[in-house]
Amino acid sequence: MTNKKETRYGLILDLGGAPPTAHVVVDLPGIFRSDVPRPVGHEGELSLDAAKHYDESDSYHLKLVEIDESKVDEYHQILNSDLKSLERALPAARKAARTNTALSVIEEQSRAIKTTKPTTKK
Amino acid sequence: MASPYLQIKLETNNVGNESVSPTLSTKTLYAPIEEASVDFGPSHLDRNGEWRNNNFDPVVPFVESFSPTWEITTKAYPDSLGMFFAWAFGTASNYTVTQGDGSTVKDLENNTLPASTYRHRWLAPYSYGATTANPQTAQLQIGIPDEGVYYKVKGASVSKIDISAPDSGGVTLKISGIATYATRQSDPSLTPSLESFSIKPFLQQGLSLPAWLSNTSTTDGFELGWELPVEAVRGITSTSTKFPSTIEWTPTGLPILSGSIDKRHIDSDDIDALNSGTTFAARATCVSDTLITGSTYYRFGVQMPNCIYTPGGSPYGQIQNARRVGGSFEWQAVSDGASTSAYVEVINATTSYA
Repeated sequence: MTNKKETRYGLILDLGGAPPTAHVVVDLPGIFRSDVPRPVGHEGELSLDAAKHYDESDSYHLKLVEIDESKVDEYHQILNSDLKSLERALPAARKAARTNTALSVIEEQSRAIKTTKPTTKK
Repeated sequence: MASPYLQIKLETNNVGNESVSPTLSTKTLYAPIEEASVDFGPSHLDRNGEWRNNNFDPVVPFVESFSPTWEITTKAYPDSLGMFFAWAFGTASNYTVTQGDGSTVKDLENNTLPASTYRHRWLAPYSYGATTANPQTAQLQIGIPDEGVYYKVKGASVSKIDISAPDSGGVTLKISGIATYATRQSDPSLTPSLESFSIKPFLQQGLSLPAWLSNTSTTDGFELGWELPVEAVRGITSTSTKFPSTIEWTPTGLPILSGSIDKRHIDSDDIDALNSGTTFAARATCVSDTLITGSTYYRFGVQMPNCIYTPGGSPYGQIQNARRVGGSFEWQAVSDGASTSAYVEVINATTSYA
């Protein structure tokens, strides 16, 4: 009896020339990077159907790629670290918003952390 | 509530205009700007002087031509700053991008740059765009989703950059220029992707002047900026249009890097340098709070082998009955004929802007 290995997928930021840093895609939860795929399709992750929609749509700069199952935990750790950095940065941004940053921009960045649960697998 | 967005792509093989859509750069930036304006620049043809028995009542004009202009205000972020420099200074020549190697690749401060960092360097008089006759141009798409209004601007060329470093609020860029074409378009259905807030902008607190005139007085403020000699051209081409057909360098204009520097005390060394036309090596560097990798921070800087104080400002002091009398000087980067007037550098994680 053979075990059919499940294919794992992830979403990668496909914004031309983007540096390998954490990016927020407006109205989507979580962080996206051009160098680290965001695993999708499992519990706590974006659904595969949603990921396929983002990949196929011309509106989003996201690409669905096959990923190595053994690297999923590593990817989660990197992206969760980015989320924590964003969480730390938001209070300063809100404070600065009194004179500077548009509130709508802060809302877009904070939506990225509010609607995503930590995805680190234990 | 959705914030507006600005998407920038460089035009690579042609200057865009009403009928020409050039190949656009792979590099795409959704700039985290604070303010933007677009002016289509319509010009009316006035017919009030015509003998039309209108009984001295103004008659209806009509739009004869357009002269688009634009302006952007933004904080200086590491990736977007590089893109704005690539847009203003071009990448076809006098631009190099070098990946750090942990040993031989260094920045203007002679710091070794590790792998995963990239040194982007532009040399005055900078580069051209589609051809040597044209500056680098870009296509802009501005979306105002809450208002349902979307603009596209083609052939956008930078004519002015002002970089200021106030005590608070971060290093700020104000960039403005001209364009060949601007139009309102239907929703292009773009979803912006922006770097996370954890990538911080450059701050005045990271700014330093490692090189300036010897024995200069304490610096209180520093600003720099560029004026680029670009002009919109209305040619009579194969297609009739109310818009300019291309953007070219002006026949005799020069790209000027200049600025101002505020001094806490008026000082004989500064005053004598102004009066004598003394040139001096100068370097301004700004280091970010954010790490790229390891212990290497994002940074940008300008190095001017020959800098000179120019007339203007209040260099001789606003003299009052006060404990301290300061002054301010205007300065400009110049060439001695043997070397460039300025090196402009950004150290970040972006692979290339070319």
